[in-house]
Amino acid sequence: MDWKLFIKIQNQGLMGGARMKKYLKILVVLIITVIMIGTHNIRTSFASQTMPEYVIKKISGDEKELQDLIIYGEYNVGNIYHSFKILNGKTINLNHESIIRKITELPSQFEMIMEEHKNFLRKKVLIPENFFEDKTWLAYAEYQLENSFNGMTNRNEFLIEVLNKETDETVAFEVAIPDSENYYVININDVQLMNGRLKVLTNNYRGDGSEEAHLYVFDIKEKKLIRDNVILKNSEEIENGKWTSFSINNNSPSLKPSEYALILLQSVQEEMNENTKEVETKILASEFYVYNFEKEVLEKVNTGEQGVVEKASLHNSTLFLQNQIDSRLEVVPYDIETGTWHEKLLFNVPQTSGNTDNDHIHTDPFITVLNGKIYIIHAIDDGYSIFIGDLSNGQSLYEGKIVAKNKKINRHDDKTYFRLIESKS
Amino acid sequence: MKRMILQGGIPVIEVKNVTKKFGRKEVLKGVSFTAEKGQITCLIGINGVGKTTIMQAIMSLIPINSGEIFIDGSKLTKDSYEKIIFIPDTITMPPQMRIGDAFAFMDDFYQSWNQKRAEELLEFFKLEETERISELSKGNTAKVNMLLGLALDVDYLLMDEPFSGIDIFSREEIANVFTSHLIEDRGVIITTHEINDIEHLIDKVVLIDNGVVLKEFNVEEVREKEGKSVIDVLREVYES
Amino acid sequence: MNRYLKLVNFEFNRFFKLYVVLVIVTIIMQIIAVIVESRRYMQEAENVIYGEMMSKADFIKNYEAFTMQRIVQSNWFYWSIAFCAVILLIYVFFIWYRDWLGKNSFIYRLLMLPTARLNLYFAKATAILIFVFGLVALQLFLFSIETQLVKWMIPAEFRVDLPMSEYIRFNYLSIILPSSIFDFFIFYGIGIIAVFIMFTAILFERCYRLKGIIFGISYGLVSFGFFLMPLLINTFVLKNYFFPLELFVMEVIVCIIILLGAIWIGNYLLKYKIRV
Repeated sequence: MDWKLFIKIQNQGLMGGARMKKYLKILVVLIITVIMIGTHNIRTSFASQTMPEYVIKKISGDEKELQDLIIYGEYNVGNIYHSFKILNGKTINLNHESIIRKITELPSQFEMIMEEHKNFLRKKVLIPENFFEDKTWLAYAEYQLENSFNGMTNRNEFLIEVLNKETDETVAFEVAIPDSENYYVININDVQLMNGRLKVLTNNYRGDGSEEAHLYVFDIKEKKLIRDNVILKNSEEIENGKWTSFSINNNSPSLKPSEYALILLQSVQEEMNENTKEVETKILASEFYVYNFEKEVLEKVNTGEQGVVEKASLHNSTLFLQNQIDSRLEVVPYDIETGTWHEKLLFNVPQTSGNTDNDHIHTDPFITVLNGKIYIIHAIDDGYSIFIGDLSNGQSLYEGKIVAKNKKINRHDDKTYFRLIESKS
Repeated sequence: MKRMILQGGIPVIEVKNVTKKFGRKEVLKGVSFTAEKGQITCLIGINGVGKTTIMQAIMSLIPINSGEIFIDGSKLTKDSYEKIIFIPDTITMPPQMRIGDAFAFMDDFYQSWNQKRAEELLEFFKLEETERISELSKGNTAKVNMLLGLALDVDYLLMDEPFSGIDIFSREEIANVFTSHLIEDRGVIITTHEINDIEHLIDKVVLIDNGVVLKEFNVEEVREKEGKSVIDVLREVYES
Repeated sequence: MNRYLKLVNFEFNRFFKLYVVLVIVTIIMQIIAVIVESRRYMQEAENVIYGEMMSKADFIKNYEAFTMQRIVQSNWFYWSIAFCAVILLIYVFFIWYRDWLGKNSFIYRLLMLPTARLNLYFAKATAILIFVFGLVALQLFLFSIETQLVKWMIPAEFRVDLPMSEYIRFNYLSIILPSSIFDFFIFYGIGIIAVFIMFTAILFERCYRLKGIIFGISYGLVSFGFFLMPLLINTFVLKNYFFPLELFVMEVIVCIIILLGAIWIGNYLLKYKIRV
C-alpha cells in the first residue's frame, strides 16, 4: 500500500470530519428550534383535544329543534379555558380561530343572501337591522352622516335600495331628511317593506341629550320620503348615575319581516356595590311599547299587574315578558292583536344557592328567547339539561341532556358555561 | 513564457470600448485591449487613471456605462469565477478569520481550489494556518492575498498592484512566484505604476492615460524589432 | 443549492457569538422579571395580610391571584423582547453593510463566488429567519422555566396556573406566538416580505450610494403603497365594493407580487448594478 495514498485518504476523512464540525452550531440551533416549536404545536393541539365532544341526548321531543342551532359556550377545567360552539352535533373549538376568520366572517343571516344575491350586498353595511328580506323582496336602508369615513354623500341622507328577487330589478335612491341638523346620531333598528312603502324604525339622539324613536316612511316608486313620525320621546337627563334609554327589539336585530317592533323604555340606576366594588345597574322602571308597522301606531303595554319585568321579547304578534322568581322562570305572553294577557308559563329553572366563592357566572342557568321559543340550559348532576319550550302554549318542544364525552382530563371540578344561542337559518 | 494558441475559441480577455463614469467624472472613455492566456499583461498608468476600475469592470464588480467585456468569447457568468480570479490590493477575507479558515472557505466554494498547492505556498511563504489575518504584517497580508488567488486552478489571474507598499524581500518572494511554474499557462493581468520591478516578467504592456489606451504593445517584439525597452517606449509616448 | 446552504451556514456562524449574547441577556432579563414581579406580589400580600389584617382569602379575592400575565406585562419582560427585536432589526442592515466595511472588503469575495448572486440575498434572509425562529423557540422554552419558577416562588393558593394560550392572548405576544397556524403564516409571511423589502432597499443604497438612499426609501414606500392599494381603492374609490374575504385574497396576491418584486429587483441590482 502506497503510504502517501493512505495518508491522503486519512486526511480527507479528517477534512470531512472537520467540515462537519462547522455545521454543528447551525444544526444544533435548528434542531432545538424545531423541537421546541414542534412540541408547542403538539401541546396546543393536544389541549384542543382535552376539550370534550358535546353530545346532546334526547329525553323527549323533536330533534329537529336542534337543527341549525348554534350553542356557544366555554369549557373550563383547572387552568384550561376553551371557547367552543356546538352546531348540528359537532363541537367546534373557537380558541384556535384565526384572526383572519374573525375579520372576514359575516353575520350568519347573510350567508344565504351571499350565495344568491351577492352583488346586492356590495357597498353596504352588513348588519341585520339595515336589511329586510321576504320571498320577493330584499331591501336596505342606511343613514349616511355628512363627512363620514365613507364619504358617499355630502349631506345627511338615507340611502335606500330595494331589489325585486324575481325580476332582478333594483330601485335605489338617496333622500335627505328634515331637521337632520338636530340629530347627531341616527341608528336604524329595523327595516320593513310593505305595499311599496319602506318603513325604517330608528332611534335618534339630539344635541341636548334627549332621544327620539322615529319611523321614516319612504315610497319606493316615488323615491322619496313621505312621512316622518316621531314615535316616542325621552327627554330625561342623566343625573347621578340614573338614566333612561330605549332598547328596540331587544337588541336582537333581524332581517325577517315583522308586523311589530318592541320598544322598551327603561330607567336604570347605577350603583357601586360596597362589597364587590363593582358597578351594578338596577332597573327602576320599565315601560313596554309595541309599534304596529302597518298602522304606524304605538301602543303602550300595561304591565302593571306583572310587577317589575326584567326582560321581554317579541315573536310574531306575541310579546313575552320574563321574570325569574326563586327557582321558577315566569313567562307571561301578551297577545298584541287582542290586547290580552295569557296564562303565565312556568318553567323550573333552579337558581344557584348563593355560592359566593364559586364563579357564579358558571353556575347560573342560561335562558334565552328566540323566535317564540324559550331555551333553558342549566347544570344537573352529570351534565346539563336543555329545555326548548313553545311560548305559545308553554309546551315542551324538546328536552335533552348535554353530556361532555371523551374528556381527556377526568376531573370533577370541570365546568361548562353556555353563553349564547343563535339560529343559523 | 510559453505562448498557448488553442484551436477553436481563442483564450483571451477582450475589453471593448468600455466607458465608466463616477458621478460626473468620466474615468474610462473608451478603453479597449486584449489579454491572452499564457501571457502576463501589464496595465500601466499613473495613480487614479482607472486601472483598478478596469479590473473591477472585468470581474463585474462594478457596472460599466457602455462597452463590452468578453472572457474566452463570452460574457462573464457565475461559473466564470472558477476560471478567472481577481486579487485586489486588500485581502478579501474577514479580519478575524484564521488562514486555515480562509482556506476552508475557499475549498468549500471553489471547485478549482487546490488545497495542496495552498499548503505548499503557505510553507514557502513561511506562514502558519493558525495565524489570524488581522495580525499579519503588510507584507504577509499581501502574500496570503496572493496565495488565495494562486491556489486556484484558474485560467486568468487579475492582480491589482501586487507590489505596492511591500518591503523589498517580500517583493522578491512574490516575484519568484511569478517566475515559477505557478504562473505558466495562465493569463495574467497586473496593474502597477512602477514598472521597474517587473519589466523582465511581463509579456505585454497596455498604457492607459486620460481614460483611453495610449499604446498597447508586445514587450518582446518591441525589444527585437526596435531594440527598445519598455521604459523607452513609455518615455516616447509621454513626450509626444 | 449547495453553495446557498454553505452561505447560510457561513452567515449563521458569523453572527453566532452575538446571538449567544442575545440569548443570555434575554434569559437573564426574563428571570429578573419573574423574580421582581413575584417578590413584589408577595410583598404586597404580606403588607395587606399582616399590615391591614385582611384574611388570605379576602386578599386573593380583592387583589387577584398571581398569574403569568403579570410577568408577561412587566417591564423587564417587555424590554427583553424589545431588545432582541431591535438587535435583529439592526442586523438586517448590518448583515449587508459589514461586508463593505473596513479594509478587508469581504464583499469582493462574496461577489466573486461561483454562485448566483441571488444566493447571497437568500442566504442572508435565511440566516435572519433562523435567528428569529431560534428566539421564538427560546421564548417557548423560557415560558416553561418561568412557569416553574413561579410555582417555586408563589404558594399555590395565591396563584392561578394559566395555560400559555391564556396569558399570551391579549397582548403583543399573540403576534409572535399566534394560536392559529394560519395566523402564524400570515404574520411571519409579512415579516419575511418586510425583510426582503429592506434588503432590496439596502441594495439600492449600495448600488447608487447617496442617490440610492432616496431610491431605497422610495422603493420601500412604493411597496407599502402597493400593499395598501387594495384597501385604499376599496374604501375610497369603490366605496367598499369588495367583501372582507375578497379583500383578503387580493391582499395575499398583492403581497406575493411585492415579494417577487423585491426578489427580482434585488437580483437585478446584485447582478448588474452593484459596486464594491
